[in-house]
Order: sequence, then C-alpha cells, then structure tokens
Amino acid sequence: MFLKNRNIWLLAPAVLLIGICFLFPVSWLLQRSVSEPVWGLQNYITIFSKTIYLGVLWNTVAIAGVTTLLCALIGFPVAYSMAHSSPWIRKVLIFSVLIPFWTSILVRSFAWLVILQRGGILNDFLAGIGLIAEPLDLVYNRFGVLLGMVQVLLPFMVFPLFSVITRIDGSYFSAATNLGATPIRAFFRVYLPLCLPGLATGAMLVFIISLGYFITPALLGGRGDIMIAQLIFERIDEFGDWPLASALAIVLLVGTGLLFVLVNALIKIRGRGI
Amino acid sequence: MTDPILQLSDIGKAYGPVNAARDINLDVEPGEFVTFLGPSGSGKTTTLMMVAGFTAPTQGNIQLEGKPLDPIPVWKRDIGMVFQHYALFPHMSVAQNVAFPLEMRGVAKEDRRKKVEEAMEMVGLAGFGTRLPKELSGGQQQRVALARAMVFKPRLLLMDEPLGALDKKLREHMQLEIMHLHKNLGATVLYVTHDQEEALVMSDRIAVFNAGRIEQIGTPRDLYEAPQTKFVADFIGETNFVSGTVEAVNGSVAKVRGLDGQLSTQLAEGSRAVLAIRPERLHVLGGDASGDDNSLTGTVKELIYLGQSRKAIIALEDGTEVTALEQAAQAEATALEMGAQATLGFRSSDARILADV
Repeated sequence: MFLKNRNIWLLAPAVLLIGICFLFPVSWLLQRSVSEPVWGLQNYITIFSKTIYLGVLWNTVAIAGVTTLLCALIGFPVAYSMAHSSPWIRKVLIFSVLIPFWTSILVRSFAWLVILQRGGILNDFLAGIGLIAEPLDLVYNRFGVLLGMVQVLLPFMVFPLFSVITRIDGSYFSAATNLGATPIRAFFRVYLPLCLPGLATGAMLVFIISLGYFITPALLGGRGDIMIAQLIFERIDEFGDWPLASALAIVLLVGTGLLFVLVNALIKIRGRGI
Repeated sequence: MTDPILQLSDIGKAYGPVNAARDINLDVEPGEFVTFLGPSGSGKTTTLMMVAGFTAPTQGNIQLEGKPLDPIPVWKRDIGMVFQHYALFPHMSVAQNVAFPLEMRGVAKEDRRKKVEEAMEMVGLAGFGTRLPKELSGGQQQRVALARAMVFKPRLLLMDEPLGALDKKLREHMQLEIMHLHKNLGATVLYVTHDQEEALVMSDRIAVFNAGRIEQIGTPRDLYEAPQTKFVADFIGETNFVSGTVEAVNGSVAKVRGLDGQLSTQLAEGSRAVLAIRPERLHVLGGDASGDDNSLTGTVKELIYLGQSRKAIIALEDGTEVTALEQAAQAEATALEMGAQATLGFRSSDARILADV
C-alpha cells in the first residue's frame, strides 16, 4: 500500500499532459458551448432540432457502424487465419495487416483518389479492357469513404480478435462436432461465442475511432457523407462559429463516452458467462 | 463370441514419410473396455482420433457395427468422447453442456431436461446444472465431461487421457468410478493412457503401442505375465533383463546364459535375446526357494526398505543389476548384507525369453 502511494507520482507526467491537452481544452469548449451567444442550451437545441445537423449525426453513426461491420466481416477470417497458420505465414499476415500504419493517412487517402477517381487508374483500366463505357463513380461518395476507412481501421479489428482467437483451444470445436454439431452449428454455437470478447473490443475500437474520423471522409466523401468532425471543422473554418462547433465536439465526446461505458457493461455481463 | 462392435483393419496414418500409426488391427467386443497404452508419440492418440473421425486414416479401414466408418463425418458418427482437458464449453452452464449433444440431435426440450438430469445424477452431480464449468473442481469437470459424452447413448465411448490432469488420489478414485459406470451401462470404451498402472486397473484388454504399432494386445494378466516383446515387458511393471544369446531351444523352452525360460515367440539359436524376470519372482536363496530351477549369483549393492516389502539390488558378475522384491515376512527370513554375496533363484516358468532389439 505504502509503495503504491509513493509510485503514484510516476503518473504525474501523464496526468499533467491529459490535464493541459485534454481536460483544459474540453472544459473550455464546454463553457463556450453553453455560454455563447447567451448562457443556455441553445446550441445543443440547434443541433438536435435542425435536419442538417441530425443528418450529419446520423451519417456519422451510420458510416461508423457500417465500417465496423465491414471490418468485422473482413477481419474475422484474417484473424482466424493468422491464429491458425504456421509461424512464418503468421508473420507475413501480421506484417501485411500492419503496413497501412506505416504510411501517413493523408498519403493513403490521396492514393485512393488517384486510383478511384473518374480519370483514375482503375477506371482507365476498366475502360481500357472494354468492361465499362462510362467511368464509374468510385469516389466522392459513401463507397469511397467506407473503402478508405475500412482499410485504415482494419488492424484495430484484427489484432484484438487475433489475441482472443489464439487463446481458444481447438478442442472446443472438435468436442462440438463430436457431440453431433455440424461444422456450421459448431461455429455459431461454440466458436463464435468464445470469440465475442475480441470481437467486442475490436468493434468498439473501430466504431469509436470512426466516429471522430476526419481526413478520409473529407477527401473521399461527397456532400452527403459529411461526418461530425468535418462539420465541426466547417463551422469554425468557414463561419467562425465556435459555440456551435464546441457543442458538436461535446456531443461527440459524450456520445463516445456513453458508448464506451455501455459496451464495457455488456462485456462485463457476458464476461461472467465466459 | 459375439460379433465385434468395432473393427480396425490394417489402419495407419502417414504424415508424409512419417508413420504416426501403421498396421493397426483390433477387434473390440460390445461392452468391452479396451485401453491403448504407450509412451507419447506411440500412435495411440492418433488411432483414437481416427476412430473419432478427426483424422482420416491413410491406409486400412474402420468398421463400426459392421458398417464402414470412414465415409461418415465426425458429427454423424454417434461416438462419445472425453477430451484430455474435458473441452467443456466455458460459455455454457453445466446443464447446457450436457444438453448440447441432445440439442444437436433435435431431442425435445422436456425430454432433454429429463435426460440431462439422469446423466447428472449418474455422475453424482445432481443440482450442479446451473453452474459454469470453471466454478467446478477438476474432478467435477471430469464428471461433467463424462455425462456429456454418455448422455446421448453413443455407440462407442472414447477417452483421451481423461484423468491426466487430476492428482493421484482423485485419479485413483475416478478410475474406479469410470469402471463402475462402464459396468453399469455396458458401454464399449476405448481408453487412451500412458499410465500402465491405470491400464492394468481398468481394462478388459490392453493394446500396447510403440513407435506407431501395436506391440501386443491382451488382458492385463497376459501382458504382465507373458509379455511377447522386450518393450512390453519393460513398459508394463518392473522387469529384470539378463541379455545373452539363445541356446538349447527345445519346443517352447530355451536357455539364455545358462538360465531356463519360456519362449514367447520362435527365436533361432544364437540370436540375441534377453531373459526377463519380474522382481517379485526372484527369490533370495536361503529363504523359501522351493521349485526354483534357476539360480543367479552376485553382490548385494543396495537394500531398500519399503515397509511392506524389501527391494534388493544385486549386481551380477558382468555388472548387470537385477532387483528382487520380497514381502517383509520373507525378507526377515533371508538376512542380506550390503557387499556380501547372494544367490537368487527363480522358476523357469516365470521367466520369458524375448528377442533383444
């Protein structure tokens, strides 16, 4: 106990950093959001009553949700293969999943533009081999946003899943089939439930990071794909509307926090079963 | 003799050039308890996995109740299995675990509950249904695994070292309990273990595995009293080996280094062989040696007091050490001294002459 108390000073740099770089600006935002132009909740009322803002909030949740779902669907087989392959192949897979982290997100998003735009590599190629007459709209829309975000966020799904799957004993699946379950039933009744902690962690990471995403949707999305972070940027950059931008930021923060608490509680309830 | 329920004919499993198991032949009678005994890597688990359907044999075929088993997938084989670490599903309650095979077979809910209750009662765990596997002790988990593997009345029950994770005392208790369950239910059991004592206690018959092959199949008594290979004699129980060449073959008897013994298999004169004799069949002369027609002399190297018995380790002239085990009462009558000369006697009918490989 004594030692624990002494060691608490080791946290000082982190506490200081969070205090200066997070708590202080957030309180400042919170204060502006309820005090300008006059004290009150008018900024929040605006956000939750105007269709344009509600649309953006919905976009944000929908894009984050679909991104999470796609990451789960694509990431699960990857994590499974990683867990069930020879050490050498596992290294190659881990390496390939990690590669996206090595390049700047800005460069990656621009690279997608080069590939996907109307005069881009992909459209040129498809037109060249005569598969399409008119170039396809692959970017500046929801498809482009999802593609870019899934590519960037996939590792956040794969690694938590991988760490859980490697620890699942293969005999559970064997036992299930031995007891009469077809491989498909064994997967859904036994294997998948055992993967849930990893799936939940991965989904939470991807969803929460998606909620505040800025660069990818800004570069690869169209007018209909504006997410909350872009809206905040716009309010400040174009209109200098700090109070509303602050309120939006607080909505994002509180929403993310609530989600975190909710998922944690769910995992805890399930965790008692696992 | 009834028709065998399970027939393994020449089955084998090769991984590339490596034979994990080969030339396995075995007929199992209905209701029989057959143990696969052998060191790790001897092919016993591979063979069990081929019966369960987790591994496909690369040679030979398996028949269950007279029908080929190979085309039937694992989930349709109706073979119960207790896994080494039980493999109880951690996210399901004990009752859900036991109900799982019934659920997969589409048994109605009401019927399911009744059968689960019966199975739980059978293994002495009535009332534990709502617990999670991790809330049970190792022995209790073992019982749940048994209940789950038996609740659907499988045609065959496989057990892969099911007691390996338990401590000695609990293991001995569970051995008896599994034997009782086996007797009461009349189930046919294939049991894998590397523990020879466990095999001797539990089995109707034992198949001793070595290097991917079955060395010998027989009742525990057969294997202990009449091992046919040096490996079997060495692996089951303790044995003294005196090595030399085969001399004076006469029907089923022969000599090695002038000592008489029984031939298990035909050996040519002059071939390398060992004479195998169990420590409890060696008598220290001076005591009750009636009927002994062989004798060995050597120097007493070690005297070990074991309470109910005494172990004497005696070095023969060529340095071979042999062990004689005598009951306490017998040992008192034959005073031995360290470093002194001692003469040991045994009956030729107790000694086996086996090929030395």
